[in-house]
Amino acid sequence: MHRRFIGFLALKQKFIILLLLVFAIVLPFTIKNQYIFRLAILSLQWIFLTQSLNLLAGVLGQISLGHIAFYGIGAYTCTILAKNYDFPTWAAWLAAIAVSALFGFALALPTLRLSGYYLTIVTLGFGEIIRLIEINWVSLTRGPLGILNIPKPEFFGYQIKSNIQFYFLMLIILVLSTVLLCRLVNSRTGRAIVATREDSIAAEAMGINIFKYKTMVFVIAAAMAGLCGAFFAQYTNYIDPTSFKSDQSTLLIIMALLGGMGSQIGPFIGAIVLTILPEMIRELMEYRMLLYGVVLLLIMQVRPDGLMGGVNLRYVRQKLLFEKERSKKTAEKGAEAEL
Amino acid sequence: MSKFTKFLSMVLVLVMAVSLFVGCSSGETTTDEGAQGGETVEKNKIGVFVPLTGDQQQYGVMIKNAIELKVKQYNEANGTNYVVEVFDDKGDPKEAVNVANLICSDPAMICGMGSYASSCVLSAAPVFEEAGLLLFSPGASHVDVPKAGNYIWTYAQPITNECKAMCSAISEYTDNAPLGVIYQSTDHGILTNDATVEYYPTYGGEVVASETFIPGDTKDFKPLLSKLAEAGAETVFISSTYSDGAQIILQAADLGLDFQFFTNSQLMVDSFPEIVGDKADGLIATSSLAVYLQTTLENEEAYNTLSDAEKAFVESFKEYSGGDNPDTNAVLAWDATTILLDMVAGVGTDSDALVEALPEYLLNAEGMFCAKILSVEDKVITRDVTLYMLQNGAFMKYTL
Amino acid sequence: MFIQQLINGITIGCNYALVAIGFTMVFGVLRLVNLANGSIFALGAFFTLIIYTAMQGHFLLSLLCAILATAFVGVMVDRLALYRLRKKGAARVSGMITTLAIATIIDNAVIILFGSQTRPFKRPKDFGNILIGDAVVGKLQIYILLSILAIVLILSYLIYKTKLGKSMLATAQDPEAAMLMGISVNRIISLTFAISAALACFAGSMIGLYYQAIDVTLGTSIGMKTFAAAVLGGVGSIPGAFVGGIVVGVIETFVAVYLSSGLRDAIAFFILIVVLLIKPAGIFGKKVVEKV
Repeated sequence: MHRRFIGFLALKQKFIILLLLVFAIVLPFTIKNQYIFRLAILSLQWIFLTQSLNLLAGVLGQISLGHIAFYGIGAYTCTILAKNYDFPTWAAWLAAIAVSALFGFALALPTLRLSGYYLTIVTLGFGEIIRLIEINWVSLTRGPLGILNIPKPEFFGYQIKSNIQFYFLMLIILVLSTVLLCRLVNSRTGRAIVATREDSIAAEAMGINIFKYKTMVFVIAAAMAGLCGAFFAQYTNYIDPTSFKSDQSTLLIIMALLGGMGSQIGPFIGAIVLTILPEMIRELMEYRMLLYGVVLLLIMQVRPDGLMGGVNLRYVRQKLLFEKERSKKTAEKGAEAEL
Repeated sequence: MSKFTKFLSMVLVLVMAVSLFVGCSSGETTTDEGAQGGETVEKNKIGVFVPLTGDQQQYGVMIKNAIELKVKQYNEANGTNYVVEVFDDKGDPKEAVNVANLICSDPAMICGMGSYASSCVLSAAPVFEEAGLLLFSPGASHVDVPKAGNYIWTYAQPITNECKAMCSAISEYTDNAPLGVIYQSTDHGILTNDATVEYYPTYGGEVVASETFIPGDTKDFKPLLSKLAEAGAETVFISSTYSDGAQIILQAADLGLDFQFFTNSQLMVDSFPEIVGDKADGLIATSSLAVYLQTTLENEEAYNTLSDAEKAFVESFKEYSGGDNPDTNAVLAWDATTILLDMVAGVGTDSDALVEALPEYLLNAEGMFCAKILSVEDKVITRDVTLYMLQNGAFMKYTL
Repeated sequence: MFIQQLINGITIGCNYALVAIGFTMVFGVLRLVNLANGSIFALGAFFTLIIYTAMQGHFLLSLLCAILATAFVGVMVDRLALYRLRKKGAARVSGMITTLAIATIIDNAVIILFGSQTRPFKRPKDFGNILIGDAVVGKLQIYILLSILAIVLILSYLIYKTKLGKSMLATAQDPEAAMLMGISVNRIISLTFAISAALACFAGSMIGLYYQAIDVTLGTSIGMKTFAAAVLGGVGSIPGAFVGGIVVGVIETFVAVYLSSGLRDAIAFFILIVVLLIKPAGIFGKKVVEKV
């Protein structure tokens, strides 16, 4: 049954995407409730953030347990520049992306010497250090006091302050990132990255500069997360270090895993399920974290790569189409033979 | 480029076109429909958001119980049908915004009450402000809270005022002994330290050292305590949770250090004397709130200083919460709810009217368990402060 | 003051070492980063407290019962969660994430069952202090230090001198070959988890005793830093965990005193990253050659 569902997805990809897109565009006009609106915007944001982790952990295969740090770096960079130095939004966002990318590059440097396993521990340490810097560097970040009254984004004189505007802003970013990621993964670069994941020694033997590709992925993933942080900071009014703790990184990993590591659809499934489901089971709020742990455990037991992990829709589609062709041909031959 | 990518790119262009169109045309209108719309719905709900999961759970539960109990008793006494709806903000400012949106989009809500952490109140404030719904926080003591909006009120006095009173007390009791401060690295702790460092010298004393720690990451305070001793401190002011405060005092005893400790109402919790035993005797705490610890209640002398109303409150709270005595958060929440319900009876459920009436009701409130409010200026409350000394495991009222 | 701070540092370090030993054992034998170590450590402390309160006395007996209970939990974790992954031949990272899930489950189960208040942990008697010059050392601290040394010695003897220990080393080196040699690999692994959990419980109880209070953040506050301790000393090496713990504790204390108290928590992670960059094997660890 699972196979039939995947087959269906593979064959009707374009149609489904179009349908979802129409739904996404029409949705904000039908929502009157602020709370649901916020959920929608948050879902989009989490999808984008999960995509960035998915690129790193799924496509490259480097699990990062401190990914939320880049989100925090982007948020703080954008906030400080926009609020204290009156940077225009585009500049603040660019700076957020650049600073996060820089940290991503810094985090990639150890890959020269360390294998994936040890690097994961480094990412854990990295996440904690960034959090502690955010708390302790009070003159820059106001530490636990947090930064209040963050200005809203403004592009070419056009201010974004209503929910519907934020929604479409995030939607544009998300569609853009999805398109670019799909292109990246299916390109030569993407295949090099996957090769690095599957067997880095063989990849190197084939002439792939694994350090270059690992660094590239780190930088892109960090930059994406930084952009997301900048968006988030200007969407909410107030940020403080508690929004960027390690349990958020854990949540991100669960989202990426649930949807499927390495799959482009994965982040959509994981992020939406884990943003909407907790809201639906608010009565069980006490047990929420416990349930997350159980969910994660079950995923690892039953399907360690996640729901859509390891599923290559392109391949499935080609195979199914080929089989259809073949069965058509055999039917034709059979019909011919009968005549 | 491949057909598929071409398709996706077309999709992208489509989305951008639509959003540009939509954004430009609806740019000025806000799609909020706050609680002020739909006048035909009866307003009888109070939206409470507190941490019900996570490590602040114990405080959130106290606040929730106090508000629920007060509303229940009020309903029984006056035949009204107010409903309390409780939301879990997990102590996370992002979650607080979510629940604030939930509350503000419900037209039956009279107002919001919450949270435990000031950061949650501050991040939720813009939501209430934009919706034009009153946010009446029982205990947020961050100095920025009153400035967060016209509809944002807190029943607690800001940290700075309490610190002033504390510094005066320290100065008098210790005769301006050199003071060391240990404070937790939270908004509350940092502001406390800043205020102490500012006010203590005005009374003639000197702050010789200020040491901070990150709560939850540190359990060992000996390095900090030795540092304070080295700097010459004879008196130490602790601003932390009761758990860390207990550690600080126990470890100071372990090190053989003989500091005179001062603290605020954060340490006045039942579990505190249980952990420290008699090692903390002589500790002086300031509070602008009433204290109903088990140890105080068991002390006959202290028990008899309570009014009948207070005794009834403690009894009913104990029963409702399954055996817990009300802590300072519960007392603040109870008082705030009392004032709120009285106000609603007096001026109705409209947030604008409530906001207008608040200063008057705050100043003239009768039968409050917290210390009397001395003034309300620009929504900032100033209260009287009482001193308590820990003796034989019980906090007793103390006068200099 | 220097001596006093040094003693403070060593004390903190002992606590880290206690927890790091269990963690490093699991890594040594299984090449698995057990992120649930901190949670089991807190769980063990709670078990001890509950049993001790119920028994009203007999601290050592309560400790023993709690150790057995925690060891049982450790074995269950292995049997129920990790065994399946091993059979399937899943990537190592899956194991680590599974322990992350277990950590989340245990942490929250503890909050739900025991509440988030801090509970007092009464010392069975007052141990008293001794003086070294101007500095004060608690006798309890000395006992803890001695007990760690004893554990290190016993475990080292177990692993390097006994047949059981050799089975563990064999399993660590090559589980398949070990199986071919007649070693019951699954039993060895379960045993490793049992010992690791027992150590965690002992550590939790000692620390609870030392701080005279336990609460749910016990595991998380110490957990992260013990990584640094284990890695510094060399993951897999038990004496390494001890040395690593002490070093981290001392450095942390001196950073707090002479640099800034706010930075003290960051320094442990800083050490972690520096060690991984310069000498991933740590002080006592052996460089593991990844065969192709």
